[in-house]
Order: sequence, then C-alpha cells, then structure tokens
Amino acid sequence: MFKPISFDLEETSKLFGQKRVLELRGLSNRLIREAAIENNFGKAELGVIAYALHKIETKQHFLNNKKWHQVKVSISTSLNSALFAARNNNSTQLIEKLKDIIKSIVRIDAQLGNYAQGIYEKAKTKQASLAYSYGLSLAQAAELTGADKKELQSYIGFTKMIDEEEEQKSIIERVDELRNLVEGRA
Amino acid sequence: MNVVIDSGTMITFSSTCLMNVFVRFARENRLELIVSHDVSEESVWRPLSNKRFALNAARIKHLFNESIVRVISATHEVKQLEKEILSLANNCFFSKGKPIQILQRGEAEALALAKIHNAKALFVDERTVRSLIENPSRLKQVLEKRQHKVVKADEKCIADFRKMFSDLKIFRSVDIIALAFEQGSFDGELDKGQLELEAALYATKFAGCAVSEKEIQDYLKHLT
Repeated sequence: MFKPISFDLEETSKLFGQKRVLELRGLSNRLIREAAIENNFGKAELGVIAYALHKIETKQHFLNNKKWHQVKVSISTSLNSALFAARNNNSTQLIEKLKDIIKSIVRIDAQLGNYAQGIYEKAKTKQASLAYSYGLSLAQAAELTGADKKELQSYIGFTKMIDEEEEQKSIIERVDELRNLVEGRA
Repeated sequence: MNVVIDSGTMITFSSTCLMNVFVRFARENRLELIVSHDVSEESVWRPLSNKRFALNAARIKHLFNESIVRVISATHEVKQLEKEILSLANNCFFSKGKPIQILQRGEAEALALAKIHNAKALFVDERTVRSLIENPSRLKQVLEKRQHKVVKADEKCIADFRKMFSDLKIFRSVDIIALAFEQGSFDGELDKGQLELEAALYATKFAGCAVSEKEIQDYLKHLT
C-alpha cells in the first residue's frame, strides 16, 4: 500500500523549503511510479510539480532573483493549504491549490526562464517518460502527467528505454510480412 | 488494401521529413489508409494551433486533403466495438486484484476501425498495442519487471482479445521505411545507398518508433 497524498505533500513542502533538490527529485520519481501503478492523477500532478520545483532550485538565475523568493513563499503557502485540504479529504480544494502552484511555476518561468519551452511542460514530458518506463503505453503515460504525446514520443526516442526491450519480431521478419501483404501473397 | 494508421506513425514520418517516401510507398502499394476522427484531432487539428507543432500537423493535414489518408467518423458500431475492446484489453492483467489499464480510448478506436473495415494491417509505432496482440506474455513480463509487482493474467480475456485480431498484422514506421527503400520509394528524395537507409531508420527511432539499435544493425547486416 502506498502512502497517502497528504504524506507526499508534507514531504514536498519540507524538501522544497529546505532546498533538498536531489531528494525532491527522488520524491517526484517515487510519486510517478506510484501514480503509474495506481493510475493516480493527483500523485502524478504532484510528481510533476516536485520535479519542476527541483529543476528551478538548481538554476542559479532563479535563485539569484528576488522575484523567485517571493514566488517560493507563495508556493510554500499553497503546498501547506493543499496539505490541509488533503488531510480534510477536500479534493476540490486540493486540486485548486495544486493548480495555483502550477500557475505560479509557469508565470515565474515565463519571466525568468531562458527557454521557449517552459520548465513545467518539460517536467510533464520527462516524468511521463518515467511513467512509460513502468510499462504504461505512450498515450496512458502522456495522459497521466498531461504531457503532449508528440513531445513524449520524441523524448522517448532519444532514450535507451526501447533498446532494453526484446522485440517479438525483427525488422527482417516484419519487412517480409509487409512485402507479402502488399504483394497479395499473405 | 485497408490499413489503419496511428497518429504516432504519421508524426514519425512528418517529423523526419520521410513523408514523401511514405506517400510514394502508400500510392505504389495501393494502400487505403484510414484514421479515426480522434486521431485526426490529435495529429492535426489540435497541434495546428501550437506554433511548435503546426508544420508537422500541416504536413499530415495535406495527407487528408490529398485523400492519401481518409478520416473515418466514429459510427455507433465503432463506438460499441471500441467499448468491447477496452473492456477486454483492460481486464487482461491484474495487480493486487485490480485490473491494469493497458489501452486508451484512441487506441481502442483504431483497433475497432481495423476490425470493422477489414484492415489487413495496423501501422503503429508504439509498443503496447503491438505486444498485446502479438505477445501478451511478454507484456506481462514487462509490467512485472518495470513495476516490481506480481501481475496476474486472465488467459480467457487475452485469448478473446487475440482472437479478435488474429488476422491483423502490425508494422512500425521503421518496417515501412525499410520496405520503401527496397521498393525504390527513396527515389527523388534520397540517394539509394546504405548510408541513406541507415540514416532514415535511425531517424524513425529517434522520432519515437519503438525499435532497438540492435534490430536496426541486424537488418543492415542482413542487407549486406
């Protein structure tokens, strides 16, 4: 049995507050694993948030900016409110608070980030690829974290995940089958 | 010959500039390519509004406008079969007594279309649908290995699902490109050389087609 989301929120809040970025990333990975196994969208969302927060906390230009410190306070408040909501089984408020955190991340990233593709979007793809590695289909993994399927497909293409799985049929066999089919021999 | 094509495969061709090779291959082999309405939404109409993906989407839209790929609206019959497929596929494997969701609606719709339109082949780059049809025990092993959990299989569900698609052959973009090369569909687009073939096969892999480096290398060795 996995831990309840209130436990995960408490952990996220603590690790984020204490700038324990590697542990935050580890927590994100655990959340995605559990979300993939249980098809739990709440854990998946928190997993993506934790990953995005870890990413921001490794970027010097964010850490050196006053605006980020203001946003960090607001995110911490939202995490605590989400924790309160989770403890009281108030799922509507919990979702609302998680959405507030996402908005804060997206907004500050638009102001301080260096890339056209935002940190949160990248986090969705990155963690969807992790969900895919747990055996989910591409579509399921994309749906779980809200990642774009095209983006995810391309991301997975550059990983070694596919190389780890043995195929049922080789290209040679499939090409033979396809040839027979189009030439009307199958 | 009717062939259902998944959005992922079309995206692989459009994002690797191998669309012309694919179109020539489809025309020369008289393939009647069909997609579900959902797939057209996912591969064209939604990404067209996103500047990052609009060019790829426009390339696929061109396939629809040129009637190389036909978009089929979901009829009541398709919807019914889609439900049946989802129910079967998503009750094949269990973990801790709970069914493991294997297929999504879009994938089930593509399979329903294939069944209703007597498609001989399904072009799909993704591994899960392929594994479920070709080798479900392998899929079980993958789920167990990846999730570190005991997965139980409902053999009857698996057998019913496989029986439903016993005549359906699955091909990936990498297989299509390999045959297209053999048939001369690279003409006018790329030189017909080993280097071009290797580059094209790897391009499909890096675009997300589920093919291993070993498979590509084995195929290239087989040709020499």
